[in-house]
Amino acid sequence: MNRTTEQRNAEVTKTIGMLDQMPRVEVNHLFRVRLMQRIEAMEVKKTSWSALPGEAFNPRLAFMALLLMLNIASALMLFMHGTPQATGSSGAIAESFSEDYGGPALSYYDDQTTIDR
Amino acid sequence: MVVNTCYRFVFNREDAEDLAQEVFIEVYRSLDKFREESKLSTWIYRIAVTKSLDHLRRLKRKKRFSSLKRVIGIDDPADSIPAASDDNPADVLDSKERLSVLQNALDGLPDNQKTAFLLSKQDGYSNQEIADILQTTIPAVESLIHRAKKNLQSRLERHYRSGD
Repeated sequence: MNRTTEQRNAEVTKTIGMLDQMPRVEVNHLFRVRLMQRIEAMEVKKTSWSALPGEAFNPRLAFMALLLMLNIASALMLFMHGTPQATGSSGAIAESFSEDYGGPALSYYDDQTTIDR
Repeated sequence: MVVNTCYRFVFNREDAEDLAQEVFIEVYRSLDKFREESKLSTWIYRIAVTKSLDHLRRLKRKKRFSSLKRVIGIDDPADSIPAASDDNPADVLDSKERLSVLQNALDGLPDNQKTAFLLSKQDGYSNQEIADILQTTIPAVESLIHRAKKNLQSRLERHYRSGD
C-alpha cells in the first residue's frame, strides 16, 4: 500500500496527537498503604543492620575471614596427611625397644645396672 | 502529579505507580540532602524524571537482549494504554500499534529533548518549571522542545515511509 505524502503527514500528526489524548492516571487507592509498607520495611531493615555489633559489618571482610579459615583448614588437612602415622600397638613398640636395647652390644650396660642395684 | 509524570514516560500505569513509589522512597531517604536551591516540588519531579529515564533505559536493554518477549507480547507497554473510546477491535489494534510506533520514535530522542517535550505535553508544567527541572534556561527548553518535535516528526515520517 503506497501512501501519499498527505496521508503520511496525517498519520504522523495522528500519532503525535496521541500524547495530547493521554488521560490523567488516577492513583490506585492502595498506593499510599503500599508506600508506607515499603518505607516501614526499609526502616526495619535499616535498624536490624545497625543492631549488629560494631555497626560496620563488612561483607567483604566476612568473605576474607571465610577464605582465611578455608586456607587454614586446607593447610591443616595437607599437614595431617603428609606426616607418617605411627603404626602398630603400644605393645609392639615396647617390644621393638626392648629388642633394640637387648642386643649383645649393649649387654655390658645391662650388667652394670644389675651390679649397681 | 508524580505518577502522571512517570506515566508520560513509560506509558504504563503499573510501571508508573512503581516508579512513583521509588521516587517517594528516594525523597524520604535523601531529604536531608535537599539543599533548598530549588522548590521541593521541582526536586521531586527531577527525581521522577531521572527514575523514569532509568526505567526506559532498562527496558531498552531488555528489549535489545530478548526480542522474544516482544514477540509474545509480555511487558508490552502498550497493553495498559486505554483503547479508543469505542470497542471496535480494529481501532484498539490501531491505537496500540500507533502507540508502540510513538514510543519507539520517542526512544530514539536524546534524553533532554525527550524530557522537555514530554513535560511540555503534560498539563501543569510551564517552561520555567521544565527549565528548573532540567537545570537550564527557558530559551534552552524552547529549543529542546522545538528540536524534539522536528526529530520526532522526521522519525515518524521515516517509519511510515518504510512501512509502505
